[in-house]
Amino acid sequence: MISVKLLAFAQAADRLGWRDMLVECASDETPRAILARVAPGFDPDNVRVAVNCEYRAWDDAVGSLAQEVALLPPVSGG
Amino acid sequence: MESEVILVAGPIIAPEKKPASREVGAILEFSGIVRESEGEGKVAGLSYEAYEAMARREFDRIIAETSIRHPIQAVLVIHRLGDVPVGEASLLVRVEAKHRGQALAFCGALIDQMKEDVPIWKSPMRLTSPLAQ
Repeated sequence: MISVKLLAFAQAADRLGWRDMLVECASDETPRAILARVAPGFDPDNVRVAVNCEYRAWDDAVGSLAQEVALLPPVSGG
Repeated sequence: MESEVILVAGPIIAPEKKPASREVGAILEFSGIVRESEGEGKVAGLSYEAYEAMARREFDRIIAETSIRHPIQAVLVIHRLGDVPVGEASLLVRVEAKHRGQALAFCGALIDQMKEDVPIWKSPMRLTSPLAQ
């Protein structure tokens, strides 16, 4: 098992009611599975996911080096 | 190519314009300014938040990729975070290139890609007095 920091930003944080959370997971667990476990009912449609600051697919394993998993709603900088 | 990305909590203060090399023939500076209308109403400003570590990485990646298509000599990006009142700059991009076409193309492509991938979000700062709307 590894310990990862789940981060939520902007509208994702508003919907979830939290901005960060430490979770234990297996390295072969996917971001989708982790989120379903800690926030059942949260619909990740229109939300992208990043692992260690790199965009990843929701159904790819987080990997043994994962430290941060971030939930990123559509960006709007500028 | 020189590049610098700054995320700053206070007002953007543009450093002095000084060409990165004697090959620079064009310096282009773009400022994104917060407007009073956002969506259907008026706002006092915009509040920006970022996933800062990733925002820096994404800017670096986009700058590297964009410079392959549009070679330049130098780029400076300053994005403001926190509350930005109407009329103030939230973004400054300064591009130095040999020719204006490269600078213009680079700047446009950088900002377009920023708006797709750089994890920065804005939210409206509502006016406090309903009479002001």
